[in-house]
Amino acid sequence: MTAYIFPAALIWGVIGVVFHLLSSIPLLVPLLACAYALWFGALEALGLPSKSPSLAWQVPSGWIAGRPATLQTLIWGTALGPGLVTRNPYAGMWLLPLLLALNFNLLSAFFVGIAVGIAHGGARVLGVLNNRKHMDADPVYIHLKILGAQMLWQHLDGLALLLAAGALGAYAISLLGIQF
Amino acid sequence: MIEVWATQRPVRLLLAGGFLVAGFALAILLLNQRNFTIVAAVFVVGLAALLGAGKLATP
Repeated sequence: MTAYIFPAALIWGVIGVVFHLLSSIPLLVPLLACAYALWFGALEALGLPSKSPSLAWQVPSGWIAGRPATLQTLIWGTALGPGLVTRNPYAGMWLLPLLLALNFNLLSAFFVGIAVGIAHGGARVLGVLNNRKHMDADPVYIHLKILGAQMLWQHLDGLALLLAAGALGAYAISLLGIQF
Repeated sequence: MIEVWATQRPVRLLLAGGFLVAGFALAILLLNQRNFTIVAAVFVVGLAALLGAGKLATP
């Protein structure tokens, strides 16, 4: 569990600091994030054919084969915990760095980044541990079950993106000085 | 049962529109109370947990 959470917390903390630099351009982040969340949120929530931005990289087998179990876990955890470099079926992933840039304070951006890393890495490892329970089941059944679950999660991710799009739209309008 | 109901096209449209409007309304409320940034931070952590838990099929 530590192998997934610790690297994720570190990497997301750094991302929080780097993306904080964007907050110096007031309207850029809310508008960019709103457009992204609206487009991908609509596609995912309505179940329209879409491909979320994703890297196709996977952990090379040469990194794993012949290594001690602890090192294997550490390699898997470092690659998968932060959730950025492997295949990603959910568009919400790339909204996270933009939302981190909404923090006005560098320190809070860093700590929120760490919390994002802990949340993602922790939830990811719980999913992996849960999957281990079904290792003996029929592979076709498992594949279908995973596809079904992925469709449900995509719908949830789409709704979360649309909630964010609405909020970011209101935030961008408020930055223009329009009061409700 | 609720998953099947929620995946029907008219329900999807209604939910999508509802979440968009709810986000807008919630943000106005939070901006007036000056709590927007704190709630945005909580939201981003929650979304990260949702995404991590949902990645069941990514090797």
